[in-house]
Amino acid sequence: MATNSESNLNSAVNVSELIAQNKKKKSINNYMEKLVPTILFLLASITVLTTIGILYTLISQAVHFFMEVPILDFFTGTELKPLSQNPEFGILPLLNGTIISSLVAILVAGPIGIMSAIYLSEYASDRVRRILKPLLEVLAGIPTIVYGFFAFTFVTPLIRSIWPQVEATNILSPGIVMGVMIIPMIASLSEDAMTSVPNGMREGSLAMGTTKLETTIKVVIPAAFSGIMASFVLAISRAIGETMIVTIASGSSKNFTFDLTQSMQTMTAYIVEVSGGEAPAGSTLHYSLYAVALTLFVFTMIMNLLAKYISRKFREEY
Amino acid sequence: MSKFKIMLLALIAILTIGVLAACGSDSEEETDNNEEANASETDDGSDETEDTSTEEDSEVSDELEGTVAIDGSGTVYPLMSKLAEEYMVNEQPNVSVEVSRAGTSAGFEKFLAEDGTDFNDASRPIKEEEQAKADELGIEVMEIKTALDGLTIVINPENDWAKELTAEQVEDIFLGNVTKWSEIDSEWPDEEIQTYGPNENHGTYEFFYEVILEEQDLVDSIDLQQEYSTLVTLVSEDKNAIGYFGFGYYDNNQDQVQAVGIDFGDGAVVPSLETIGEEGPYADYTRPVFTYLNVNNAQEKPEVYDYAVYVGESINEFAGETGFAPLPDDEQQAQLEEIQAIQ
Amino acid sequence: MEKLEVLHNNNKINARVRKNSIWKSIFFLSTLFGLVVLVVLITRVLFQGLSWIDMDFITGRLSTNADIAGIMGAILGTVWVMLVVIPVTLIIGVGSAIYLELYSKKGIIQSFIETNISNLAGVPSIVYGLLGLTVFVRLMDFGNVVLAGGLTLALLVLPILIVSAQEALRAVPGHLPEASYGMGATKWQTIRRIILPAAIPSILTGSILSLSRAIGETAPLTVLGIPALLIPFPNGIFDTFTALPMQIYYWTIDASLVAEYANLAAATIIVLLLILFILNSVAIFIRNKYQQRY
Repeated sequence: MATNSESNLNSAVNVSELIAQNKKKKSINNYMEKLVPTILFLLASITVLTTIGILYTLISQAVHFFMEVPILDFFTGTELKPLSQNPEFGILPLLNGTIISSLVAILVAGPIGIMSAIYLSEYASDRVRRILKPLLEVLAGIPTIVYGFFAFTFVTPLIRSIWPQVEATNILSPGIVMGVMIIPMIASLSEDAMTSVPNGMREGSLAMGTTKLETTIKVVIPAAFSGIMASFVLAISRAIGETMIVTIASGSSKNFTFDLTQSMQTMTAYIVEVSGGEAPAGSTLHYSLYAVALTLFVFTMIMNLLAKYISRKFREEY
Repeated sequence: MSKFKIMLLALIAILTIGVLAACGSDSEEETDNNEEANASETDDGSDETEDTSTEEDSEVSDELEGTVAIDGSGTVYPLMSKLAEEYMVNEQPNVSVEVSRAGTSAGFEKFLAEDGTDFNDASRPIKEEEQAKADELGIEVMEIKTALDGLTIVINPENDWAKELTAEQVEDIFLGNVTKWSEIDSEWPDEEIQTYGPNENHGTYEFFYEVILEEQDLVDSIDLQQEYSTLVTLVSEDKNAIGYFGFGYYDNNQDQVQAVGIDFGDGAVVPSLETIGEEGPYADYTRPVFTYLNVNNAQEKPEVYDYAVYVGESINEFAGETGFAPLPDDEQQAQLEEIQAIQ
Repeated sequence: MEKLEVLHNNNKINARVRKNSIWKSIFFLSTLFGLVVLVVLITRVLFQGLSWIDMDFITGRLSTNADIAGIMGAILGTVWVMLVVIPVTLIIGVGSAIYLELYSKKGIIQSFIETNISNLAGVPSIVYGLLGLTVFVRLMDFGNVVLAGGLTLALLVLPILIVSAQEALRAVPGHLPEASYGMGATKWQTIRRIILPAAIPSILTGSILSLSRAIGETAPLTVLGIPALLIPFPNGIFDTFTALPMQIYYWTIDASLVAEYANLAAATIIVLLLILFILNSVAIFIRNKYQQRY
């Protein structure tokens, strides 16, 4: 396999020359051996710099915002009127829009994702799995702007033709489309959790005369439960951070309501609106952008850590 | 073994291309493909570079190069982008005019800065604090009126009762003094009025709030949206809807919404390119829209000056098709002379 | 008596078996649901956009006039962005992966960096947009040029690439480096000549996949401030640019100005999906060709 290309020894070459050459090479090699890890370490620390950059960006600007608007008002305010003459900065309408759209998404993706995972892990033959799994993954590879276009120009009109009181921009349609987007995430992570359940448990159950369904429901799912939970949490985190679908299809009303047929705004859509809109740098409006982004960042971070914690617990089970 | 080598080579090739791209790009820009693209421009009636047929002989006839950066209002964007495109296709193919639309105020932020943009479109006049910042930076700012916009009150096409409203009734509706159609006229349906409008991001909102409602707060239940496309859809699908936006958006969507004739005291006036104007019958709902020019840049960069002159010459030519009413001819002429006086 | 019980039991068993097969179909249909939506989405986009695609659309310049508008500028913008993203992510990504897999000692630093990377992978893309706006556009004063967009997207996909490169390095069978050390090679020589060449196919696959993620990203670019109308083509990394997803975004929200813009958005989506499809096919091809070599 591996040949040392330097070892084309030619007997005509003088031995002492060879030794001298070798020495030279050794010193270069030694130098490289020392230098390389340092360079690689510097490269690896770029990711740490990225995190520092993100935290610095968000915190340094959000601090200005919280000087103007008390934290408590920000997190308990139900009115978000960032642009009016007497601006109100309450994040609750955005939190509400974010949570509702993510809940709709998880209500779509949860059951469908789990059932897909059950089929792929317990029922499908190898051949079928090999065809279906990559196809499902395609859903995750479609750019979100395409989903946004689809939600706005197809799903919303479709929903409205069935249910006329739904508004032209509403939280339901982007929620459903976001759900479709995160199906592969739940399906493949849950499937991983199920396939890692030891076969002995399945066989033991089947030997007692149960059907495959009963085994799946009573043995496999309980055993893989925390893995499935972790996939849910990750998928929700993904939905919370999703931007383009809600920006395009949910409009920008800052309604504080629980009515799915209405337009609402999510944290991400607010960031797009304000950064592309009229936010004079240095104004409270401009800083509000970073306060919202910081909230979003903390939210998704908590979700990710939670998912990691759950799945770590799950790994200890076997 | 050779397979890995091929792979490695491929990797190295990609890297080299990337590095080369990173090194040899900011030197000078090759503009040769501008020529080709111009030659391959499809026949849509726009002339080729060689046979431009503008009425005025623009005094700068030699080839210019460079970039003109424009940002600002989304309302003015359709007109400005049209002008930019015509200019690049017919006048100066080697000048790149970049048009963005961050919004009036955000645009001013970029405009009033070191190395700022050359133009800023605005759907409202410059504010005092913005002017003060310009003075502080030593930027001489010139206001150019680009066109007139008529704020249009729109209703659902199926609405056959409120086709004409008085200015007071419009105020009552948007201030929330009336909440049902029947409160305006007992003959009208006993249904809730649904109000819609662009949100505070837009100069259109500011105009409506400051000039038409005289700074009284809009009704709480109004649905304010960032995107005009959303507004059009909302009004087109709600029988009890009433909304407002710039004439251009109504003009492009006449199949989906209908305009309300407004009675300012001498009978109902429907907004149109004929009625909109500071002296026209629709004057009360008419506002000018602007672009602001950085005069220092125009003096230093011939392409900025040349484009400013082009804007001064051509605004009225493209106002109509982008949904604006043209300026009176004498006003346009006076403004053009003012621009030419820069040099 | 006993017979009855057996019959009864048989009935019960039959019912359970039936239930199993009914549910099996439900599970199968659920798996198909996502695919059905995918088919509907693609059909819809094709139906709306295909008739708008011709050579002029692909090679033409952007225009406010829907009939003559083309997307070559956006395609070139996307290509230039890729030319920034590829070298940056490959050098940093593979370097970090080598460090984490082969050099760093198990300990606080390593687990800190790894935890950090997996956290970064979960940061919403719009937040990277704000990072790029603050650091590249304003602090380093690049302006909204290809370089700023490319670096922002590079940082965004870096965590994905590092993790896949780590897996690629881990998959190299242990006997190869052992043999190399046995021949007296140093560590760096072994990595350069043995481990990296063996891992390159998987690394390439991973980098193509992360690249296609970068190409489809819109949210960070909306924050950076991409001009809505940019007619000249970008010729380098210091030029202002627009990219395919941004063009789709602008055309979707401008459909109220000109109704045909919705069709242009659909046509642009077809082009974007086609590019992603080709990239992913290449990645899958590489993976399948070089998968089972040892």
